[in-house]
Amino acid sequence: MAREHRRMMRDPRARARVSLSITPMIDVVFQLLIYFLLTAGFMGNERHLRAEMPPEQAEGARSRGLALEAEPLVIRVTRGGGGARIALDAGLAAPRDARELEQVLRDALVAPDRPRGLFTADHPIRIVATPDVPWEDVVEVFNAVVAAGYRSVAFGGAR
Amino acid sequence: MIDVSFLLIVFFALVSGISNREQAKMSLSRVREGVAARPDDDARWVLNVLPAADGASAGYALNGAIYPADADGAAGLAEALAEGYRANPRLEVNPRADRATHYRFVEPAMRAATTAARLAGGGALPRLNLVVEEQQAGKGAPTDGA
Repeated sequence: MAREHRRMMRDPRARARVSLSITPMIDVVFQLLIYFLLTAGFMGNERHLRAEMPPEQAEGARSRGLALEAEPLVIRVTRGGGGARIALDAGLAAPRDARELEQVLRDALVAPDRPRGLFTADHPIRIVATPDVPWEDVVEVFNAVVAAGYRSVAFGGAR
Repeated sequence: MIDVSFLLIVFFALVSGISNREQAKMSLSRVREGVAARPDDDARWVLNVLPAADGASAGYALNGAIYPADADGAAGLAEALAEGYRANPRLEVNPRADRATHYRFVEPAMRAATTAARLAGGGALPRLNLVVEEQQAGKGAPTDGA
């Protein structure tokens, strides 16, 4: 048996016949490649909206206050029958939905063509929602405020 | 070609693992096209508010760890985030929440980032990026249900 094997290895024609078939391996590799391509979860059309939270002061610093800080415009979001109810401070009319909120806030913004506007783009805006409001409604309000041109938008506590 | 294929397999195997850890399955809030920014390359931690039935939350997921959706969980979350802020004061926190999850579960997660920044000290500022889904043009209104 061993002699036969040695004879085969000495014979170049017999040696050429011993080869590794990689075709099945390539098939498997491609199957794996297709599997990972299909199952890999990428970001898709995920995007970011930059947000702020009111700064949390350390214990003992709460009573100091910040006299120069502008009073934020508070937007209250509550859960209504057919969606979120939006209410505004500063005597502004309550909008029916986020789209109308965007328009109200845009009209209140100081701009070259509206020098008598109520707020500058840096005026702090605080969104305060009740605990049972779906996140989607809160994001819609946030989105409307940003789209109206305000830059300092923060979330208040759930109350 | 087989070498390249192997490299691609390794790449996809690694990327799918990272993606699964960061991206819990949920329906994100949708916004109009062009309002939200694309994710940048800054250091960021994705904070998933895990959805549950009826607008509740099953907890908060951060870097593979799950924190309960209660006061203790929020405190643990703040501790974990504070570690991140100590390591990198410019760390960005990206809260991901299902569109149906109630605000009472999302707000503590965002609040935890503020608490963490204070705990970390060193001038760390909580930088939050709300993760939303961009509404593709011609695919319905941004307020469509899930």
